[in-house]
Amino acid sequence: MMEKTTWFEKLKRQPEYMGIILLTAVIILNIITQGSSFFKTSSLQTLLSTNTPLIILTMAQCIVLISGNIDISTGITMTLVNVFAVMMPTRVSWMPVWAAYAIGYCLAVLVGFTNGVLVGYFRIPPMLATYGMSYIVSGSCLLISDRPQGKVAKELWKIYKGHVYGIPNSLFLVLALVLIWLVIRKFSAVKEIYALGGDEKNTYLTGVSTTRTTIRAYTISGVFVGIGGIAWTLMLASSNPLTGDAKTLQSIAAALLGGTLISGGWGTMICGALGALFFGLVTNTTTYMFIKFIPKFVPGFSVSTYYQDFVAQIIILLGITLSVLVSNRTRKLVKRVVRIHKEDEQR
Amino acid sequence: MLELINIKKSFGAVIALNQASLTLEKGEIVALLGANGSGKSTLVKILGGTVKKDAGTITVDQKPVEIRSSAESRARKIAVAYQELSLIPRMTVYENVMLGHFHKGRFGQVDERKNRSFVCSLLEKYGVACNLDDFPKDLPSSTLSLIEIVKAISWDPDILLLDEVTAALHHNEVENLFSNLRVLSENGISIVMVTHRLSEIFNIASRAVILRNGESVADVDLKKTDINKIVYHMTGKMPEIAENPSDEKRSMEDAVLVVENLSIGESVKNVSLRVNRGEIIGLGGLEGQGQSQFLRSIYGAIPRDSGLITLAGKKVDYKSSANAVKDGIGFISGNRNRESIFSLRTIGENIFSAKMSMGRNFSGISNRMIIRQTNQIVKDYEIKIGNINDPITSLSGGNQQKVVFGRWILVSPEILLLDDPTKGVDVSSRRELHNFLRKAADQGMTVLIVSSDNDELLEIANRIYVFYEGGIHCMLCGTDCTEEKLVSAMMGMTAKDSVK
Repeated sequence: MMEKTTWFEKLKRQPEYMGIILLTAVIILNIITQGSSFFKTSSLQTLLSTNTPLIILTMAQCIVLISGNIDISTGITMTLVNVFAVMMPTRVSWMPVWAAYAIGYCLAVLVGFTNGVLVGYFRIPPMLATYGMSYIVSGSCLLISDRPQGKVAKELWKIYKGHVYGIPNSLFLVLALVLIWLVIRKFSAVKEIYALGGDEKNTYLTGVSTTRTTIRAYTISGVFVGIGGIAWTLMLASSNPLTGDAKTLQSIAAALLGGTLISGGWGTMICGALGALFFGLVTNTTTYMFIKFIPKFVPGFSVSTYYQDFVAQIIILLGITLSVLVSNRTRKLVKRVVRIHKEDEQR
Repeated sequence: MLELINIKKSFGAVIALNQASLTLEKGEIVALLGANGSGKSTLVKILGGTVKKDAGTITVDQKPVEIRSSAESRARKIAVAYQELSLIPRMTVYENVMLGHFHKGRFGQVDERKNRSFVCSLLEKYGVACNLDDFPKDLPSSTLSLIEIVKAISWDPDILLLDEVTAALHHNEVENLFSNLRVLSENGISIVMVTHRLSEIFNIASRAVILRNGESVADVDLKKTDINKIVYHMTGKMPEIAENPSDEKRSMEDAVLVVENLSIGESVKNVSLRVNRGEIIGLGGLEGQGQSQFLRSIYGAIPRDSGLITLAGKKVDYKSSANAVKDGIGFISGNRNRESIFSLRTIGENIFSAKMSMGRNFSGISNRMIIRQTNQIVKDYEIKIGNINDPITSLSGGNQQKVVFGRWILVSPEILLLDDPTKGVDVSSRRELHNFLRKAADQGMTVLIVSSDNDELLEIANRIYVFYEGGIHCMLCGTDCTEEKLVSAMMGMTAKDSVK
């Protein structure tokens, strides 16, 4: 018993705490509404392969949020990878498909790096810098292709949507990225990103370059966005210059749901993955609720699908409120006193 | 090994350092002393690389060096423990200590085990009571100060700067720290200590460099001097110990504000005072002794831990400053840009802002009404402005402060709280502000004024409460109000110190 409490206390101190609770709740809800078909390989398969791009995108967003900044160009950058990889081989005759994917990926990293330079070196507010960047990227996408078109070779997306022993391949991709995170978090480079988000001034006082750390955070984000873009391409199995942008705000919301703080210095990429999975599951749950669960009790029940979005967003809003409340409640009072105290000393 | 020669630094028109010099030999412990605003923190910050000097030379081992950033300062083996702490609240203690210089493993990853055992041994040595995985946000301030020191020492510096680190420490913690510092100095590390606890320096330092108004005025051997001489160098006055008359004898009848045993965290401890109608009360002391927090907690801007506040015979407990304003309390901060003016709005709107909070939520306010009422104030108190519709930033600092003062006159509060209102204000404006205060006090307003300027307190206050380390050290009134007595009280000197 004693052992159990300390284990629980330890979990409570982790940033993932809120994400795990929300995710467990929504999984239970999902199983109730969907019934046993939830555990079928095909159903898991669809669920994960649709949501993997958002999960990766949220992981990318998390590292930027941890550094105390924000990136609102991630969704459109993912689209850039998609459009570039699918359409370039058809536009430029000499470009092989693998090169298009590789260059598209490098572009995503470059966008991340440029964001980092704008924010870290030129000190442009992150909101503005990445907003401007999102329009540049969006423009480039439309230059390459101005409407949904193109095709991805079947062999490629079959890998993404396939499964091994009943476990979807997209899950392996996510697990691999989580593993990468678990490795890189051991490096001082990432610990400095946490410090930067926690307190920029004190990080500088400790002799850590805040400029370089900011650029590093955005570049890591770019690396993940690139992978997200490839997953997005394989999921769509074609190119679409329009839909990706909506994922940006979803990824920020999902990161907050997972327990990452928007003020920085708190959270992990795993938080992002949990939050994004919650996001996807909520949509899944409400869909099943409206087409399967409620009709079981109310025969002939049928409403517009917009109601599904309505209910899903209410659940998400509740989740965000809960997660922010939990992390804020204890801090609020203490922080206020500390801030005033600090200001007095600075004067 | 370290030499600072004629360092100069000014912030705008304010000269923080002028001709400040400091020398430091290998393995020496030097105390850096000075009163409020004498520039000792600035000097530390210049060495730490967070403030750039305007002129002067710094030499390390006879070679001139430039310190342009805190990373360069670290590279010169200078480490600083800051008074306001440089810890990251949401990182673990061990990550905080090792940040920027983690021990690396074979693949360049952070070698947890090695780091942990290194930090653990340091924490044990310095008697820090905390776990490696605690977050600074959950720890008390005395522990945080020690962690800050350990963090500086973990860089293995040649020169260690300690900026007021003992302020939050308990007596036995200070003893332990000092014995460790002595070992460090025997191993060849030079230490500069900034402190306001004068009695401590005789225990630890061999030499003291004293700054006054940004100039280094004396470099004294602590074996051949006493505390009175040091205070003389710091302030230009010989200290005298004041008898401490009790508050209790004073009449109760006209008490407007009675505060009993007020405590706020670690910054204010058990403060009691009583203020009568129409008095001007000065709250003096070195900076950061809890005066500002005390004032703000009366106003409801900082929640207090314990204590009773009685306003005109009625117990009050403000949850927010809006309630305090409704009950007739006004507050003026010396930190104009942050806490008192609305820099984009006009002079008239700035004056009217307090009055606005008194009305109903949806009562109409016409521009003409604002202009009429505020013009009256401007005329009555002779505030020199161009046009009432000019932005407030068109005025000088002193005039801005007068406008803020007019803001409160318009609502005529019972009690006006001022936190260093004349900071960075020129002499003539200062005199006018003092006249305002006297005029208001004559009309029955009660004034509590925190000031870091001794002359101001002595000139204007009927009585002065002197704060030292979060408590009231003594109360001066009548003939006790002399600079000598004020100075000795500010330094926390008691009759015992003076005999020594």
